[in-house]
Amino acid sequence: MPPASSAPTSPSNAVLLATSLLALAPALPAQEAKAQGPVWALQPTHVILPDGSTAEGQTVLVQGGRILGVGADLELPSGARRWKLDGVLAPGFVDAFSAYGTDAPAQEDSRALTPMLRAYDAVDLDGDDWGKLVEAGITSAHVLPEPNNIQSGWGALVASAGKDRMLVGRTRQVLSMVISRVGDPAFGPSSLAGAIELLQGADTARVPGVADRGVLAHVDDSAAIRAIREAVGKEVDTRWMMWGDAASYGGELRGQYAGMPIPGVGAWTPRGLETLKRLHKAGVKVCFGTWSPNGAAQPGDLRRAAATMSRLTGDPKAAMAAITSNAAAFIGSDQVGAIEKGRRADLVLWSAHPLDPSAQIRAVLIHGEAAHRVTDSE
Amino acid sequence: MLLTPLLASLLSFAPADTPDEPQPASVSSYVVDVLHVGDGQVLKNVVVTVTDGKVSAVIPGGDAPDGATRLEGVHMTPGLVDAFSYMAVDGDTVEQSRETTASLKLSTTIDLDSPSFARAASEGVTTAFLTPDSLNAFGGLAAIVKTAGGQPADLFADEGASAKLVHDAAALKISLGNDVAMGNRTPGRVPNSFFIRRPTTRMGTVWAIRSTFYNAMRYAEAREAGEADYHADYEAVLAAMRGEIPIRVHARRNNDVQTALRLAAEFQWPGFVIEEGTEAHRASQLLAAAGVPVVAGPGYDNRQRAIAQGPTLEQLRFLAAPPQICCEHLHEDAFVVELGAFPVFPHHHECDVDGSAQHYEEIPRNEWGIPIDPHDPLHHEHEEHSEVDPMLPENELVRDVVLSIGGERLASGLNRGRFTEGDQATPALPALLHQAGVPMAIGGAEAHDAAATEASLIHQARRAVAYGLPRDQAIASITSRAAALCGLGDRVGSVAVGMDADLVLWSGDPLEHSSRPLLVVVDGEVVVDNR
Amino acid sequence: MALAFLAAVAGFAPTAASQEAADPGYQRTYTIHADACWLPGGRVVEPAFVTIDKGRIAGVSTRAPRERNTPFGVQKPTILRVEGTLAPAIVDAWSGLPMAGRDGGRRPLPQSRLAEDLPVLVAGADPGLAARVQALRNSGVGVVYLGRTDGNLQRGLGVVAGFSVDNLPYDMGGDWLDLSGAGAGGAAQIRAQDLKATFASAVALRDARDDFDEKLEKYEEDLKKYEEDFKKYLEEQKKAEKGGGKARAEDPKQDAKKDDKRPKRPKRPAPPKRNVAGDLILDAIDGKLPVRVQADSGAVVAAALDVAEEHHLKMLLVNAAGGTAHADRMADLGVGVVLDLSRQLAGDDALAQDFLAYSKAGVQVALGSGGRDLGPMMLTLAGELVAHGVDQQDVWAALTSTPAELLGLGGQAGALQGGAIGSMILFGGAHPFDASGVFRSHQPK
Repeated sequence: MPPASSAPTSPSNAVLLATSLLALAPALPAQEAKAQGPVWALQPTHVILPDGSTAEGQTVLVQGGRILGVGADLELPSGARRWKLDGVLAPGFVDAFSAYGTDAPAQEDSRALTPMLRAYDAVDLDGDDWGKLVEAGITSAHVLPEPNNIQSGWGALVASAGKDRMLVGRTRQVLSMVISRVGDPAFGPSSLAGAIELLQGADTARVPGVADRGVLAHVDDSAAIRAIREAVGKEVDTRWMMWGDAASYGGELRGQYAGMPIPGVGAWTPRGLETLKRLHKAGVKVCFGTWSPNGAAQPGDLRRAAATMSRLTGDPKAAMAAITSNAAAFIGSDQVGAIEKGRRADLVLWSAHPLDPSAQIRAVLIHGEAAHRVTDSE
Repeated sequence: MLLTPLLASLLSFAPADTPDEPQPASVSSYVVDVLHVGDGQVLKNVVVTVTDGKVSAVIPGGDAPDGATRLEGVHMTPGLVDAFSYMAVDGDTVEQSRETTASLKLSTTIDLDSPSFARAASEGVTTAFLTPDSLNAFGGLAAIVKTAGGQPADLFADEGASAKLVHDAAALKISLGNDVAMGNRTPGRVPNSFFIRRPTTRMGTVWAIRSTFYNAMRYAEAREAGEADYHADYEAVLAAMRGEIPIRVHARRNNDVQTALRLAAEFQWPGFVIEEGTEAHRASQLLAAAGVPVVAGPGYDNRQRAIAQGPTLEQLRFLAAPPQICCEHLHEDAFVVELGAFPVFPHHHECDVDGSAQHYEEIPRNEWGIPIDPHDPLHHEHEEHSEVDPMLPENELVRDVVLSIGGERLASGLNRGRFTEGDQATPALPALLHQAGVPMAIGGAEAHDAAATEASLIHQARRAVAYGLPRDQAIASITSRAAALCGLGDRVGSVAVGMDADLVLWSGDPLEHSSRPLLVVVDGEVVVDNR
Repeated sequence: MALAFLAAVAGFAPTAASQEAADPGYQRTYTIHADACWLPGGRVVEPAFVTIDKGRIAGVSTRAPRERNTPFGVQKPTILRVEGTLAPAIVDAWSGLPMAGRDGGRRPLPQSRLAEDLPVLVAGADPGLAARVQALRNSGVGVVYLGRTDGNLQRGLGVVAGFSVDNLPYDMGGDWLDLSGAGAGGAAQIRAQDLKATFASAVALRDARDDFDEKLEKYEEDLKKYEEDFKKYLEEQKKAEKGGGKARAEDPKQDAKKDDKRPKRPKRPAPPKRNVAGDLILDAIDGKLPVRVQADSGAVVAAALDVAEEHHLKMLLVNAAGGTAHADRMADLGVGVVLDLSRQLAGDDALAQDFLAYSKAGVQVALGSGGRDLGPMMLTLAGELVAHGVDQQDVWAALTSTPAELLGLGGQAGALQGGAIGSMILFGGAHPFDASGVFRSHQPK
């Protein structure tokens, strides 16, 4: 960290805010039940609230890297420092499933059942990817083992920057019933029936940790969804990753949290466009992630996907949720994904609403600390 | 010349000649201009006396006794200690047909007559910590040798030209990172060689380590109850957990270093040493907080595929201010897992002693977890050979493949991960570790297996000095601290009374490129004379 | 009614084929009452009443149409109240709407007209294509340029298409000579040479034809002379026969051969070979066909500009990546450019830099989807250009009015004004790129 600069005298813009937080925040403890340290009262022009709506005149209180409270007429604690910010303060985006930092090979081929793997063991915290995430406004990413096994192991929630990178060491047990990925004519199952038999024998519900943390199931048709439900049981909290033609089985997932790859970049089909619309209409709680088997998506595509969803569905709130709160619920974390009391202060100050593609990032705070700032202010 | 208090204490322990010694003691003396004691001290005009292979007196400003070896302008250091070396092993240094070969001793495979030892000795290295290669999760037990002074098996060789074994269980080697996972890659998705036992990812490597610890703990319980046969690998692991054998973890990347710290917390290791640690400076605060030492390797940079040449601007910034990495990971609940609360590998019979993984046994499965036909003849064969590690597929064809191609495959796989790990490699690694307060030694890796002296241990210390390591620290990191990290701090690595008389007389300051060893003494005997 | 507007279209002369516009089938007349609308040049009108008549805009006003003007017996105007701001639909000057396969797998010929491959405008004529068009229109696109994407240098004649009420493309703006300088590196150098050579050989073709005309004239003169000479000759023969009939040999042929005085019939000059591809180039040189050159490299841009200068072509450059060094020359020659919006997918500011460089030099800049189907992402990618420093109004013009002008549509598209097509977008955010508000596209009925 560069040495602390002198405290700003006129706290009127984001750059100054960022500089001062940079100077003072490293002293804050990382994970304390009772937050300590100075209280920051951030007063941006607009705040994006947990329901996705945009509100004016809000104050966001931050202490010890956590959000102390959000509201229009909050009583400021004594000693709180007020910062008037020009822009829209949004929660940092959450990449619902990615493979950042896990260098190839990330697929464990030695067995078809590898429930014991932990993606966090493979994360290279020094990789070049993380800086790009921050620049795209993504403050945390759900890193998964490649779903090439029927049980692939544990995902991890990793912060894009900051001192405390590992937010959740084991998020969900990853299952896969996408036969094109787990099928293996030589050794493994060669059919969905074989994969289902294997999954049933694996007794996922009794894998230690699954009862508390739940599973994340990769599926590409309704037979796979039924097989997962039957094999895992209703008690286990299940999230879904939709591959293939999601419209053909999306009706099974009404009211569920489900992840989608970034919708076809530059390769739309009329059905593809309609699918997102219908999933939204059916009440599937969609979220996006940048992992794909061919690695085509980039960090910036997450925001593009949300803009696309907003245009297709006419529901900007749902589009915001798809890259923030829905993604957090998909992962199973109540730490990230919303500007809400008790969550981490992973905040991004935009020059306009983040779904406006002409909006620029003015500052990124991760765990209350400046991770990125734009220095050329007008 | 003023005597330092330490020196005074050394002198007070100077032993008198013991009268009941049956044979006359062999005594020799060296008069040197400068003595690098090894712990950072530098003394001038010193008389070092050696009696029966041990240092018996270190007297600054003392009178030279008759017959003393006197060389003008020489510097003396203790014999250098290479705390991380791969040299002089017959064939591959790990047995790859099992993932866990914790009980295999590297000492059994060392070629004590290897010319590598002679090269090492001529470069001033008198003690070498030989470590198994990083291709197994548990590579086996490391060995410590003295590079000269042994009885050569080769009848044409000079007396004392062979190395001699000092310790055959110097540490249990555990490897993290890509190396372990690399042996199993095949063009298709399916691993189809005998390497099939191997993990193919970092995650799998970590699991292979975890499962071995869990299995060893279960084995211990079963053994106590009289329900398990003796298992050498688990015994070695348990000895390491009890602190009887030190633990060495080979890790290059920052995240592998952090993984080692998590494993240490999870299994309550009594302590361990990081080996090679190419990017350990990125986790230096964590290491310092945990008090975990590092034996720094030569620092290969995967982008240049050569020894990293000079720091980048970013690295220089780290020199100014080490990166901040928090220590909370060590205490995170998510990583403290209770014994028995974990799934074992399907089909790993021998460790299901407490029945906690019984649900996996309801359906018999093969290595890939696939239910198998109980009438399958292969399956029966498997059960009959239950003492064989079930992780190895019991297939005759596979066995043949092992025998026919094993050697070449393994040789080509040696340390390949070095070239894929180490984006952050910097020659300033020793300086950065020192600055962060991490106990640190410098290791030579393959330094003396090749004839190139540019890679020798003293050269690496010189390079560390060029990139910011204080000179006294550079000497300590190849002598006293290196010895301490090998567990031999009470015998080698410093020139003090009672220590082994392993001495190197240099033509000048050893940290200058213009200096070379003139005399190398091991256990009091001159083994290299380049005067 | 629609024909009347078409007749009013300014710009260069449309070809004969496009003057007979297809009937897109729109029937209804109604008025949309929105909070505001965007007019060309950044003017915003609040509130906005846009009256649509048979698929075209009949008028834009801040007041509702007055009922007393409605003749007796005619239904009162329908007014639809919508929330948000109206703006014209996008004119995609480089569409990815796939037309391949519509020509029945014919070998791509240099003279094939895409306009002839368009479906007949009957509902259900091509459901697959209609579904794609529907998706495009939902994404806010109103007019597209359709061209082939094969690797030939002459990719036939592309067409500017609007959409019918049944979501089928119809010929709206006439043919374009579509030339491809696609490819980079050494291939680009060869393409640049090929491009020049194509025009040079067309000129040679014309020269050869002019020569032929001269030769033909000479031939005809020679023929007349021959006929006269032959008459004289025959007369002389007759005289000779009368003089001494026995002198004539029995074999007339042999006799003729030997007869040196018999005049020779001149040879008719061979006409130059038919060259349809060359004719198209000549049409372009004569200003009858506008030219579109896809230039993926600076070398092709330079070659295209050489050709445009030499033959005074009406030219549009497509992509023109790496051609910013020639921006001033493009501006001098009046050559517009269609940039590839899909380049923005890379996430860097290269496209924005090109945009700024071209517009600073005074080149008319349009944005197309690069022959890909960007769907609703088109507006997102365009909005990112604003984040990279391009003026918002410039980007919006590059999606609407500028491509309309460059494609020769005049007031037919790209602006909310009388005579323009009635396809529009409705946005609830601050501007059309902003996805934080509602977004809908309006398609007339």
